[in-house]
Amino acid sequence: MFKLGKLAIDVAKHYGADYADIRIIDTKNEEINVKNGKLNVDYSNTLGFGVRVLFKGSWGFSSSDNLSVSEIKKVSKEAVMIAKASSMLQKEKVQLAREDVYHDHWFTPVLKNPFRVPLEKKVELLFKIDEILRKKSEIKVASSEMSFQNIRKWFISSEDSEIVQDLLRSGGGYSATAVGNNDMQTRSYPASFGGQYYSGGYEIIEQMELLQNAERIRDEAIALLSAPQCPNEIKDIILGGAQMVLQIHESVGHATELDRVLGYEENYAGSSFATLEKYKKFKYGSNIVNLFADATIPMGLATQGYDDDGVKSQRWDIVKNGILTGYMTNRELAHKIKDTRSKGCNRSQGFYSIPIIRISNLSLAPGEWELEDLIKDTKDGIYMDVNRSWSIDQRRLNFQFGCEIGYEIKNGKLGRMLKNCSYQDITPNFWNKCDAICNENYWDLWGVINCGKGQPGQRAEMSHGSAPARFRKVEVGIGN
Amino acid sequence: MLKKEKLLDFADTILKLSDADMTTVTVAGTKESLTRFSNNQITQNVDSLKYSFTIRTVYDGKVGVVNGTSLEKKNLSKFIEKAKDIAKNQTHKKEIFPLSSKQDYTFTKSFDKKTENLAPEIRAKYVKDAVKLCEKERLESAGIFSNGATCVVIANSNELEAHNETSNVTFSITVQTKDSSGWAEQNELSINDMDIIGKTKIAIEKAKKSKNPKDLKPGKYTVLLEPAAVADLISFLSYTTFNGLMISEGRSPLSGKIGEKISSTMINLYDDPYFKGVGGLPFDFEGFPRKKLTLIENGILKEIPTDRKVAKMLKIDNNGHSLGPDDEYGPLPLNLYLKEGDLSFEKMVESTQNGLLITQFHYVNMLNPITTTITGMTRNGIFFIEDGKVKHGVKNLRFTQSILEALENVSMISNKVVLQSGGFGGGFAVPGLKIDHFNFTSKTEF
Repeated sequence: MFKLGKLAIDVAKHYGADYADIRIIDTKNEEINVKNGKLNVDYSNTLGFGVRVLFKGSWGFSSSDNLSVSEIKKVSKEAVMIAKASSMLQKEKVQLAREDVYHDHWFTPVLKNPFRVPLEKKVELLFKIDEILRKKSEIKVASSEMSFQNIRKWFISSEDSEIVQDLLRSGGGYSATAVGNNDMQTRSYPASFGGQYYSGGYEIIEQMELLQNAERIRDEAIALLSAPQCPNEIKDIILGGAQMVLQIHESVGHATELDRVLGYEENYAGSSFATLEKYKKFKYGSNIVNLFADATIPMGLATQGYDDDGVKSQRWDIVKNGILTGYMTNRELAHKIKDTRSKGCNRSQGFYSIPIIRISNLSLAPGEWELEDLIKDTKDGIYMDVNRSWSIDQRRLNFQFGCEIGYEIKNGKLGRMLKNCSYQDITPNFWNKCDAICNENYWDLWGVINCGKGQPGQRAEMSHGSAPARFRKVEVGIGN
Repeated sequence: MLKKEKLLDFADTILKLSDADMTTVTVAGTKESLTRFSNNQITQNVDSLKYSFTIRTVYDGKVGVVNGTSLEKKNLSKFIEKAKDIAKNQTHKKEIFPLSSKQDYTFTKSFDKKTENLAPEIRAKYVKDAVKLCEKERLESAGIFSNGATCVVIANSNELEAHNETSNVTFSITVQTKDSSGWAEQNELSINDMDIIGKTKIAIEKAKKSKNPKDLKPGKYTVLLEPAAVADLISFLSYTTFNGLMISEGRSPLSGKIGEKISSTMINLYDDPYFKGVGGLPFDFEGFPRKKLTLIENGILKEIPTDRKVAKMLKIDNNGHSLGPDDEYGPLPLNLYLKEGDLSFEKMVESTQNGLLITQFHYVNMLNPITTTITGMTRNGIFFIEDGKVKHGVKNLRFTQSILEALENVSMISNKVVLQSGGFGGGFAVPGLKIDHFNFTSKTEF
């Protein structure tokens, strides 16, 4: 592969490229789903390459799924021609931040390769879950799934880096949808929209306690049908970890992507309120709010050795003691915040996509509270968990998020189950209302596998760690 | 893009190699060239051509599905063996419908070679022309110019051969002042129908007109939704409310309501892949011909999309809306056409005493599928209308609104439909709407 990669670089240079890199990517996926007793198994294997070049400070990118010498020559030349067209409308030349040259092979630590676990073993587990979920007639849709992905990626650049990475992620979960009482309610485990995912092997599935929680989830979905609506009032809220992941992702992760901040996403995903004049000054949250990005954290979905710029993975602060202190950056834009080195956030969906800035693993540092004490300390509130819906404005200020399940908190005690729970606020107002975060015993990483961004659209994966946290005086139950 | 004969030849190779009881091959190709700009310069410029194929084999009531990208024939036996391996290693059988046989389809003109293959210099020139206009007004712009094509082939061991190809071109631009923005977009099947300068002028005008936006208290307002905002609203009808499986399983508010009034009598909604410019597929993902559906006629629910499973559950005909033989999501109407009315959008504005003109919505998401309640933000041009005139820009608002309730409150429909991009499988065709009592629940800071 290195030989083919070097050929791409040589061809690009021959046609005038000042910088070139190639990523050759071989991806294997296995998706297993049981829905209402019906099994679907889907296996895919994709292989291709993408060539990215700079010509006089302008980008060009082309790709192909035909890994032949003639196609590599053709695509490399095309990338340079596209870059030449880009230079027709250029105000500022792209400057790449300096990065060391690496010759390395990095791989995800794995105990059990999920692709070697017999299919029938995985299928049997899903059928057992399906049987429990559908034991009660109110459940109209029971869906359980597992998904495994193995990416082997070669990166070769004109700066002489040669990097191979073997990335493996595993995960799954299930949901039960109950219908009745003129209503429909869904509960999911461990998280919604496909479950929970980590970097690692089949050991992840074995540690999820999938079967042990199936009855509870089924019964909660049914109970929600007759539960009272979340009231439309101002309340203190405690968000569980599975909801905090969405809160961190939407209101901090995207808001601190430097390309968004600089207007590169203005026409599609939007920009950000966290603009450069706020850097190192802005009170993003209360003093106890500490958010850090970490592409080296064990089991994170954005955990890797190097990003698609060939930058080595790092950990850094995004919000420190409530102050905005960092952004997600790449080699192209790092200099815009006077950084001499990229934080390593440039990633692409596949060989056919140009790398763009993506959220790294971004986590809220744990606080000191026991969850029991936090509930005892709350007079009039709601505990909400597991995301159900999300919407946020184009500068990441006004958000409205919904949760699958909630519980009333009255005078320090958990009370009735509530349905259709939602809350709405403005991002910095909300994070400044955070007055308590649970301790490391409640802290976990949650995987996001469906983060969309860019034109053409790209999907990326990352994890967010959090423990439950409390926010004072928030509007809940909008539209109820 | 590869032509029909080459794609069918690839599929035929697989069909000949497979020893399964049933074999189906689907090949999809996407050519996408996209020039992206922001801060008045090109920031990204890409070209990609990718194919994907799916092999579905059935052995004794058990299914194995594999996917790949490379159309190199030398690796195919590996994929076929894997599909066989998956099927044979199962102990659970499921109901398998027989494969569809050869069908007749109705084709509309949806492919233009020139549009598929515009050179990067041509895209850059279009972008340069648009940016030049913005710079003249000292405004910042961001957007895309993209062109390409998609193709799909479905062939099976029961002699089915289905092929379709569609070209596409999109120009989208956001223009900004210090405190306002304007947006315009055009989606067509042919470059000959594009008006880059015209769209840029609309975005510039909206940005300039919405300068110094005023705060507005959230509440219920009469709204005039431009077609892009209407598409944001009704796209959820396509994915959820009109999902044939959800309807048949009691998970949609339309369950059991065929023949009942579900919206204003002014509403006529169709699923029409043959509508000019929409570029819909003439067949579904099992190869059955897609029938044009009358979903709502004068406010009455008439038809719903079906595949064979839903048709069997509801004891009605299969009308060709399957997403695939093993699909568990449910058949969808992918090409909504909301019938136009008889008033110009300008006349609708003139008729409005107090109201809001909305250009576009942003990040709309479903809150409650049973009440069809969705939430989202306004974006890139929201204006206050007073005494029939556009008075001033307004800071963006969040709405929380039931779609079916909004369709009940429609009081006017504009006389021109605009094509909206819907991705693979074509787009929508929708006019502008005037809707009373539209519910805004909070505001933002810009």
